Amino acid sequence: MKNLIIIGCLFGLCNAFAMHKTESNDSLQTTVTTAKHYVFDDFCDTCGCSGNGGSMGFGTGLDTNFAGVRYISQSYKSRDGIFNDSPWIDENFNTLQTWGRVPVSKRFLINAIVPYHFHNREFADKSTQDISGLGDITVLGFYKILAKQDSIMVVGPQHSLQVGGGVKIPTGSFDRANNTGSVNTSFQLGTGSWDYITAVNYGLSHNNWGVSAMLNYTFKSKNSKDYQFGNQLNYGVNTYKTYYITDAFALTPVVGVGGENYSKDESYSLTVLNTGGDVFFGKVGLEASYNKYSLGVTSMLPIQQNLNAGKVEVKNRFSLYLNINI
Amino acid sequence: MKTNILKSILVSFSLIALASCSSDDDGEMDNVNPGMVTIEFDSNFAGNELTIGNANTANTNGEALTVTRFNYIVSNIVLIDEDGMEYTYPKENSYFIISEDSNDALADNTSIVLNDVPAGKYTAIKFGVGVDKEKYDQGLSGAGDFWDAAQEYDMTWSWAAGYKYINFEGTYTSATITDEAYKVHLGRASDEVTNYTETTINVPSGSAIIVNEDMAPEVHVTTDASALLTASEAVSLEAYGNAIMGGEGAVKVATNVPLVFAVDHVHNNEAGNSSH
Repeated sequence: MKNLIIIGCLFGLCNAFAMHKTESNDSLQTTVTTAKHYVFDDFCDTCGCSGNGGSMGFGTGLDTNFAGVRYISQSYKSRDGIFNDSPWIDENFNTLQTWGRVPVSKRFLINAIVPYHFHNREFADKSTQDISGLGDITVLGFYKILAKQDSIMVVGPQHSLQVGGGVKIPTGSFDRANNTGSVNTSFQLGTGSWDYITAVNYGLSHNNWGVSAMLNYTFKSKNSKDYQFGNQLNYGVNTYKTYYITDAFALTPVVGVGGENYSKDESYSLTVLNTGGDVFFGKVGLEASYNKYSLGVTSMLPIQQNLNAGKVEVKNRFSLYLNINI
Repeated sequence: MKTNILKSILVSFSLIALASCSSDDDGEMDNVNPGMVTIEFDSNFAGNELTIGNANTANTNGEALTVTRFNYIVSNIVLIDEDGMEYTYPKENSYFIISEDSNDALADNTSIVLNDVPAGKYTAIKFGVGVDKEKYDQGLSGAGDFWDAAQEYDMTWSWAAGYKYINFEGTYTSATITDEAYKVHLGRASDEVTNYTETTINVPSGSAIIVNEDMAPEVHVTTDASALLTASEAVSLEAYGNAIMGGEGAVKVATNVPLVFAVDHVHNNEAGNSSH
């Protein structure tokens, strides 16, 4: 854990140093075709049923329009039982999603994500459970307060700032029976509720360096089964550098940190025990871009966590995506 | 002090007023949209799952128990709702044997199903462990099938001596004793010393047992077998010659009994959905 933090700090130092060193090359650098980045994604919902603003990665390459597919795996362990020595069981959440971002006008853009989930877990008694199907579709609109200039003549740091909001539609099924087997109430395809998202994305790029920050909050409503997932805060900061191997081919390593904070769930308007909590991740990723295509891989490991009163632990998250710029 | 008394009087009046709104003449609640409630007893030993036949770590008396039998009688169940109103389950149906036993001929019994419970939000359960004097005084004729069931689970002595409220057996090891068999049989000593105890356990703060015709809530009660010998009174098996069947040891165990139970959580399931 500490190592991750140290690596992150080191990267930050290198970052500052490199920026300083390359300053004299400003005008040269900006004339090179810039790679399109998707490196600020991956703030998944702890809920396997998520696909909300957090996991959509709308902080990524803020001025890029794209369509693509992404696979996300989330690995958890949770207590199967109520005693100190109750066994831990593994829960695997898998998501295959199509996602994209399209401009509606010069200042307005739409993000959308359509997830398909396939989750599985094995209980202590060796019985298994699988659920699969369409998840919750999310649609977000963003307004560009600050946008990166198109002109190649621009010199110096570039800022992007977007604010937006949207809705997570209950297209994924929610089944109460899934909640009775384990303390992990997120073993669902969807929240079953209309959830509302507000989001802010900020990007700073300078030469081949970039920093991105995102913050979003999801208000979750009560679903038709009288269950209400806790509201969710996602935040993250990433930094990256793009290496242009050829005019068409670039590699972008990224490191970052991010976190999620969950309020407690409610069932029949009563607080559900052992829900809510927080988790803080370290993240590394690599994106390869070739012409209009971007292939990326990211991995997230928890640095600190306290989910579901310690009865659920996230082990890791992994994602792989292929996007086409449009 | 005065205001407290005034408050109590006010509260009493309002309770009476409430009771008269929602009660029959006999003081019981109207039974509208009744539902079922399952009480599941999850036995443990000092916080770890109780496994029959497996050695547990030494308790605070320095004795490591291997439990082979943990049977007890749960009786006179009362559900208390969020306003403090009590629903008393019909007494004639309110005696249950909870059993975990190494004797495979005896089916383990770890849950109680209450039917026709008035709709409501309940936040506490009150119950007795053992058989109360009133039931005992009814004699064999008043015991009905329950005596036979209790006999089957070795929860009786002779009729005169009555029921074993708790039958807790196994072996134990201490600094001076290895794998010695022990027996803890709690029961009535006399009319004055009944050793029958009642306990009231609350659901966790913010939680409730939601009862109505569409729900099938399941209340998970933890039963800590180790607490029988340690909760408030330290009861050393060795000090009582490996057998506690009455006398001072039984009184001490009876003191510990109400502290054995707690509500861990409530599953407010829809009717038709059972828990894993």
